[in-house]
Amino acid sequence: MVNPVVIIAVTLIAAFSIGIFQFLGKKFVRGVFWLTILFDFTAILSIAYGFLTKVIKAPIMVKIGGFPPPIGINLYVDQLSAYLGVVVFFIGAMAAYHWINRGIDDPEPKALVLMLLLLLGSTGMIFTQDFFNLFVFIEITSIASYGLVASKLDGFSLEAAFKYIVVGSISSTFVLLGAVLLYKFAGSLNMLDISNHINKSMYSGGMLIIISIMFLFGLLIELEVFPMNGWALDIYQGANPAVVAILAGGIVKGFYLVFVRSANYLKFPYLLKIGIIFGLATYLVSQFFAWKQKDIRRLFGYSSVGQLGLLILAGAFYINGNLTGFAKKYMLFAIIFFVLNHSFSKSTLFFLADLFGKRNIEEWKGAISQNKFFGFLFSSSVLSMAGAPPFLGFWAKLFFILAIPRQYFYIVVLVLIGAAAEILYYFNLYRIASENDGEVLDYKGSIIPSLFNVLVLLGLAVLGAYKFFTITGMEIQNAKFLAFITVSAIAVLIIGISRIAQWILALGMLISFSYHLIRNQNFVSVFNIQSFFVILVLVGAVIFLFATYPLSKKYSASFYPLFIFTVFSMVGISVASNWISLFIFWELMSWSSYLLINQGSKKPAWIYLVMSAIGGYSMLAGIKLLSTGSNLIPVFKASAIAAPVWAAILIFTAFLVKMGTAPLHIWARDAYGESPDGFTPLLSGVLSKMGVFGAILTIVYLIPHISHSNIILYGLAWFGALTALFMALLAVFQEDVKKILAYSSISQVGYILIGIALATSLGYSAALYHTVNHLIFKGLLFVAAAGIIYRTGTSYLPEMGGLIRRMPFTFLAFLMGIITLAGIPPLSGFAGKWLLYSALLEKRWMFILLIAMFASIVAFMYCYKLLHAIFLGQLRDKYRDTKEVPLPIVIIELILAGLTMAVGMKPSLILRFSDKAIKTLGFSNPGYAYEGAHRIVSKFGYWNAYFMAVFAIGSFIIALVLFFLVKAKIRKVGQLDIGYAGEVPDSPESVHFGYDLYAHMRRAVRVFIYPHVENSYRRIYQGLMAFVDYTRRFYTGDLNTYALWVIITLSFIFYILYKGVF
Amino acid sequence: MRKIVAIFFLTIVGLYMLSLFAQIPFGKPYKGVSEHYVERGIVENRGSNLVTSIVVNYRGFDTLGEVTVLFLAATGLSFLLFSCKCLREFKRIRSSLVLRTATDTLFPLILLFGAYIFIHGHLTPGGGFQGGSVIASGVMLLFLAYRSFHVNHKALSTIESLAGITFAGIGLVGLIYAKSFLANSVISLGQWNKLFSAGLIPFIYIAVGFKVGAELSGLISDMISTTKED
Amino acid sequence: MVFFAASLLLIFIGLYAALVKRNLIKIIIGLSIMDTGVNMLIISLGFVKGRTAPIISLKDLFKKGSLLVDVSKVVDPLPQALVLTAIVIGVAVTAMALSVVIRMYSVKKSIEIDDFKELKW
Repeated sequence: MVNPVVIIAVTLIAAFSIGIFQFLGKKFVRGVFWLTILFDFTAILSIAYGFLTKVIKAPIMVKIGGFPPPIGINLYVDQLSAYLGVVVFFIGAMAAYHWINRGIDDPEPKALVLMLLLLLGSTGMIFTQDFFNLFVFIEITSIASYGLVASKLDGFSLEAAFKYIVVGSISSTFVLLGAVLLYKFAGSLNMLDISNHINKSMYSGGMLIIISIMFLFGLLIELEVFPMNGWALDIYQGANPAVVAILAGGIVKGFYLVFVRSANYLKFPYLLKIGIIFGLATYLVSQFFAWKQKDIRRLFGYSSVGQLGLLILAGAFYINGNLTGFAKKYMLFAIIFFVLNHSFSKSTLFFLADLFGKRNIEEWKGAISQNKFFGFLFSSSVLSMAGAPPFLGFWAKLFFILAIPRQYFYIVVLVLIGAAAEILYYFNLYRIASENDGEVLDYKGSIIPSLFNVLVLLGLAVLGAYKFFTITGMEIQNAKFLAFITVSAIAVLIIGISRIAQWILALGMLISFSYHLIRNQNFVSVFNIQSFFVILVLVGAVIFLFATYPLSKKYSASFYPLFIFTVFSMVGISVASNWISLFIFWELMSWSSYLLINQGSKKPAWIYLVMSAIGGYSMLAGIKLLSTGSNLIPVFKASAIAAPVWAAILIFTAFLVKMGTAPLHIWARDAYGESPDGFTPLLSGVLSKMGVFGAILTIVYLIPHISHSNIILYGLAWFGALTALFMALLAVFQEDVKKILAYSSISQVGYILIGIALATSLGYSAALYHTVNHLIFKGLLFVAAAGIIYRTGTSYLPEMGGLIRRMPFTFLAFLMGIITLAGIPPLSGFAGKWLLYSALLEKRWMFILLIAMFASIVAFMYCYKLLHAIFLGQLRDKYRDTKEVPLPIVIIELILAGLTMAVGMKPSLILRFSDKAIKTLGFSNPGYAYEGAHRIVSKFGYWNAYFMAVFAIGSFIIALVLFFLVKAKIRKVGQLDIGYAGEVPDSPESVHFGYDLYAHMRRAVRVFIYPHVENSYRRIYQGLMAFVDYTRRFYTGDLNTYALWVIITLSFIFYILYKGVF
Repeated sequence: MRKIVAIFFLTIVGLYMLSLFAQIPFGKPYKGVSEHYVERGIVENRGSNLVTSIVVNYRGFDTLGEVTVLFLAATGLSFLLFSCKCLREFKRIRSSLVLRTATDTLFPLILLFGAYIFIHGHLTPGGGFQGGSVIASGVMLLFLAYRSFHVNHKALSTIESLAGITFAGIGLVGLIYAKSFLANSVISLGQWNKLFSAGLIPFIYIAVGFKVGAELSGLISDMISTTKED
Repeated sequence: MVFFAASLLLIFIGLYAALVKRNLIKIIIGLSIMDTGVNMLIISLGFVKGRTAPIISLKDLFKKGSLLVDVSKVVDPLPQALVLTAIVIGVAVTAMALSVVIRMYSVKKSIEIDDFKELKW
């Protein structure tokens, strides 16, 4: 274990000696530089390690000169200081490496001296326990950074450096004055000594408060808070990226630690107030101003500044917020994780941006897709930054939100709004960068620093997850499952050379997992709603994964790993033991599905992500309202809830987004329509049902606590009904196979929502039955569509037609699917409709019943449109040789079609499972009864599925027989052998009227299919953008203005904290 | 307009700060660490100049930092102005006879005076920084007087670095022999009011004097060489 | 009190220059004035009426018969030590600022702020 002062001394000697060595040549100086960095890093790592392994039990104190404090100066190194020191030196080393490899500015030895002393200054700043010594080290840090910021010697860097110098001088003036005045007040300069002299009652007089304000204000300036952070943004934009990486990733965190510590020593009672005002303001302003930013470095700068604001907020709560027990622990981890996450991600982003070279984000088109390794590093950093699980940023945010006390709920809401805003602009950049065409990188410099950083990030992700589960005390299965998911996905990724191998491995994993699940006693013994959905997910996943086989050749190596992530996170949602683990897996599912959709079309994926983020954060806010108990993790069965209505609404939003319920449906058409064809069946058949699952949970556990729940449920049912009707109408007028099916999916899920909202056993039966059934027939339709698109190369209906001749099996299966969708007996769709209408009758919700019935009629319209446009009519010449869809898809189609028939004859195949599940929801019977094997009776009547199936098949056979009898007497005519109005058609196109099949109806329903909701969203977005564009001109670039804002902020702080003068 | 707003807010801040200072009594006796510094300053250091004992001994770490700051500034400045003919268009005029003659006479005296200041830092007001500045002012006088005057940058850098290494090295010596960095008990303290007293303080201050002199001279030279034509 | 007020005035004059002046050199001069004001303020904080400088070269500053100094005879030496450091730091910052300005001049041939407003919103 090294004496910390040796680190400082050795670095100093090395820096001084470079002054001599520079005459011996560049290489020699570089050697000295790296040796010193290595020594420093190892030394401080050993100290940190000592703390970590409890070898060092107490903080280290070093008396300089042998004089005890407060006579002499002393260093005080504790856990957090050591960890931060490690971060500072690591990032410093990476940045130096990056800079040297990129071509360091001449004269190199002097730049290295500045770099060494920058790191030394911040280390000293962190370690010292004397206020004036702190000032000296702050100055060392500042002056070194002035030189480094200006190092590029172009207009931008110099301008940024000068602004920094002016604002930095103002800052150090206040720090110096504050320190000296503290001496005058308390008699020494030692932090601990002064702290012992202060007690909170002294703040009611006039002296201490002004002194503390001055001192802390000086430090606050360096923390880049709004409104005095113009200089910081200019540095991010103008200076050398390696320097920016050190400043943002290391140095400013040192200032942060010093600020929080000093406020603690000074027992500053207003830290919370200041932290909330400035932390929140900085965070929100930056995350919105970044929307319109086109320069990538300034964009990253806004993000950094925002994160700092969040840190200040967290620090203020930790020191001054009266947190106790778990909350305090959570907040500490939130702070540590935020610091680590930001330092490593942001510096990587700056390195990568420097390597890529282009400053305007529009020029980043295709950066990720064309450069795989670069893309991987970039994606990891962005995902970690934005807070996607399982990366560290996610755990940090989760700890933070959990730790904030209840009475500050508005802060939770505002922070989550800011987080959603952050996702919006980060992933707008990601959208551009993941476009399919673009430039291939040709950069000068090394990717090693970025690689190391990302490796650290990945390790930290593991640490974050581990710490989260252990500190909160949640069941360890969650952690194990998460680890299992990650490892599986990585395994599939590693064999990414061959898609076939990936397919086999993924399929094998799913099947073996299902097998183990069935064998697991705990799982089999209790069959409840969770088991229902687990089985649904796994069965759907296996079926749809199987069907992706022929399509997979065109997919990227990350398709299957992401598929695994999505599927297993859905399993995780289903088996979640409390709201937080539900949230964790929910977010995992959202993010992995986003990345999958992003492999198709980018803009729809972005909209999907933003809506999912809004939903997810809304859920988190709602969960926060539920949070009780010592470890603040809300469990499902709560005894009393404070604000159940708001909690329910907020949590419901997430589920409604995934279910595509109006008005949260705008993402669905294009996300379904333009996602990879292999993924869409899963998206429609399984993923939307996770929303259903969540809705059931909410209604079962939360609604009972709400007093007038009937009204809420009735309203919910209306949402479902209107969704069912309007989405069906919209489907009628679409011209793309997948888009019709997309609207149809949401429409059908609307029915399910009605069923849930009824909250009766019959309603749940209908909902659960329809959930499974929808998976079968919609999955069938989407899989068939995937096959058709694969063979014909198009998904646009007017280009298809007459395919019945070439794809008879697909036609058959498709027909089954359509019949099921329309709800016609004898196939399985009818039972769902029957149950739902019975349930609506039972509760006397007549209007909704009418709308549901009407929606069914409309559904029939688009069903027919699909069938007609694709399969019937004239076959185009270019499809004369089209083959039937690939074999795996045929197999799946026929299996699913067979299932619709089987369930149609014997609905109890599904119903027996849903009955069990419903019993565990608290109902004694499922609302209907069986009489015999095939007859289902409710209080409104009965129906016998078997009899109807026999009847239908019998009729069909009779008709078939009659047809063959008559066939001999028919004269066959070629399809083009017709003439009407004197014209003889010569090409198939002119006779096939699949295009705009319902054109004549359009005028009748125009009002209903006008994109009101979409336009509203667009107008809101554009309005916000315009507002942001106007307000961000706050940063005028004028130094006088920036300095003025510093003074204005100080006046503001004085005014709100000290009323004594005026 | 900007002026009015600036004055307004400056006045507000000023009034707050003034209200603070109104509560601080001017000229009242002090309490705290200074009592120790004053009372035991001679006992523990044997140097007459109490400020020097504080600067070099009690708070020697600050001085080390200060030395680093100056080193940083000089390095940073020479880094930024490296081979920059930035102010090319400004020519230096020939100095007058008066200036040249005065410089010839005064320069050695200035050097001597500066050396006197930093050697006697522990006895009389002044010390390394003051002495070094004086020496640098002498060098500046030479620059003003003679346009052809050059300094040997290598020599200056070497002096600067060696002096800095000496200071930090003395500190490390203290760490090794006396268990704490910058301990002053390595050599004997000597007698009060004599030249050889106060332990390591004079050595440190001499090193500092050289360093500051070299640094400031180099600084001036770097700035002036942006104008020179070669 | 006069000393305090005068030093504060200097500080605010320096700040005023940074807030209002358009010429870069004037701003640097303003910062320098601010530094001077701060240093004066610190020194005046250390002053005690009726006492002498902390240079112990006369025997009568000692307590009777020992090497302990009579505290009531000497001004506070600590602020003076602090100012020593602060002055040097101020010089260092001024030097850096000036070198940046020299470079800025060579890039844009101007030292007015209006020519250096490219980094914005």
